[in-house]
Amino acid sequence: MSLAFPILNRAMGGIGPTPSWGEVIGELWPIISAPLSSVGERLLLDVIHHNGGLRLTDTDELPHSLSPDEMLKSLAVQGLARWTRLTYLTELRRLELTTASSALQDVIRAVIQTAMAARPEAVEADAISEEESEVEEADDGLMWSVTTLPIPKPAPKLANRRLVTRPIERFGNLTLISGKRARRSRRKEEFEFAG
Amino acid sequence: MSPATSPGPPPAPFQVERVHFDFPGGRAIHLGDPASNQLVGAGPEWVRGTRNELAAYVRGNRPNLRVVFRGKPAANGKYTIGADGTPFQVEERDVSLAFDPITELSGSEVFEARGNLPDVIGVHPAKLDWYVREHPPPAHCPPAGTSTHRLATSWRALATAPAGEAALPNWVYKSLMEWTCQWAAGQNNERAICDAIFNGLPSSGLQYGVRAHTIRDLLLNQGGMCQAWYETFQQMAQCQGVFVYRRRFLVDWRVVAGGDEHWCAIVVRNGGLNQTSPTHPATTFHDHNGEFPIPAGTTVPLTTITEPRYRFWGLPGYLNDGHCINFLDHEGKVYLYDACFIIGPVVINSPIPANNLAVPQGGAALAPFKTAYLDDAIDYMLGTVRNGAAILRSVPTSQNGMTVRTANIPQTIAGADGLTFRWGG
Repeated sequence: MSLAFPILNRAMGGIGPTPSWGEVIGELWPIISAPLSSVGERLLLDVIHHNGGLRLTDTDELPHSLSPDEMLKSLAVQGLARWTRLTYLTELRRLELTTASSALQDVIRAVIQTAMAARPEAVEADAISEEESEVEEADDGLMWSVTTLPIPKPAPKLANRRLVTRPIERFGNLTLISGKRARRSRRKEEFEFAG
Repeated sequence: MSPATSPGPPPAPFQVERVHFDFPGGRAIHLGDPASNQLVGAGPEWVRGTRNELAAYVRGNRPNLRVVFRGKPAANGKYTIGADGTPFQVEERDVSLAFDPITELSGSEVFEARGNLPDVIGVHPAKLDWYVREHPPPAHCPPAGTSTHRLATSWRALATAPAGEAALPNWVYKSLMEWTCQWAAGQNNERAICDAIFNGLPSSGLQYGVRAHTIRDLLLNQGGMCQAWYETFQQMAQCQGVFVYRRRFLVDWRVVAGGDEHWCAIVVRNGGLNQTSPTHPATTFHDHNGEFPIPAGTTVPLTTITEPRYRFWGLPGYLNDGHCINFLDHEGKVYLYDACFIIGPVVINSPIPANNLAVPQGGAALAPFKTAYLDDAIDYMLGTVRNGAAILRSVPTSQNGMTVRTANIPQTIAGADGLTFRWGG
């Protein structure tokens, strides 16, 4: 767990004063309401892998419809799916299978379903649609500012994204997409769906 | 006249030591113990002088029971054993008993009840006077000890979940079985049973607003939050063979025309079950008790008050918190039970909301639910709302914007749904 998030660190068993649920949300919200930094992404993975309850003060408000640890996992799942789409599908599926909470399972299913629905499909047999990364980054700004917790735009919808249709060319055994340089590595989600 | 209770012969050379109802091959309903987190029937429910736990059956069932006797090896031999008692007797059976020289315990023997349990929901004290048959009736028999029990009889076998609903365990917590058999004693249909259970909740002493989110924690902590409560009420009904649906309605934080946010949190002033006031700390609210929406350019007076209230926060663009309730589908009607705030049964003239977190439901689809339940149960919806030139902004967990009377929120506002929720199971 990164020391960059001291409140979450303490809630998840680190040393220091016991935080309140409000403090936990106050630290989490800026992380998940904007494009994830690498440490933010790591944090959310740590959250969904965390075993056991959270250490929280009893006198403050608590969530009603999920336990605090389930709620934190729910938000981490949603944050990961919002900003990395299906990159961590394996982790999400694993949490869906291992959690005892049917309510959390419902959230994970809804998140995966939404992310799946937002995946661009091949528009024709010999073409591929890609999201323009520049568009995604430019679209991820905050909608407005608030006193303490920034509120983001809703997750980009398929209709709002610029989809670019590129013809596929073949060269020997290689398949090339016109106008794109080869990437050095594939994202994890591509491994998930390969084959 | 009972052959075992009449004066006469000396006692048998052994005594009943253990009686086990929920043994493998038994007909008892599996009960769980919240303290040990084990099945009550993992061991005998009755052990002479040390243990006497509840056992449960479907009403009218005929129990079988596994029994261990204590005696000296000198008493090893063949016997005909039975038991007289109430509310059932035990059929006589020929057994060969061999007592362990160290523990003095026999092997276990399975006996059948002679007769059925009462054919009603209830909790029944049971007393079995064990005896050894030495001569044909009506001769007196040597007594072999007395065991006493508490037997619950449920309406039907444990309910199972229909397709699409979260599966239910094949066991229930013993206290829920005992309470529901007491509260619903004599009832004989799903609606009456649910009502009786619901009306019995306050007498349990359990509370709302206590930090617990599972049934077990609720029982150990003497109360829980709404997640624990809708699971507990579902299991209470399950004890009697009645399935009630669990539904959560989550705050759907939307940005609407003009930058207002409808809505950011559910706000409740009621302390809930066995609470005089909400257990959450006081915060400052700005209540709008008048007409809504506020006409553009108009400033309305607000009531500012600092008091404890429950806030069920949403988060913009995220599925976050909400309230949890139960539904019963009975004879074509839908009944809502809110165990947290003891509101119900409320007839809802619409289908049970689908478990679909991906799509918000509101407007006309929500209208019967809003009219019949929400307007009374949920005092306010917290939003970011413009009041004249000022905007009262809500910030999750830290700042209350404007609290608008739920009953005053119309079905549509500027062509959009006035109130929407995300429904989950």
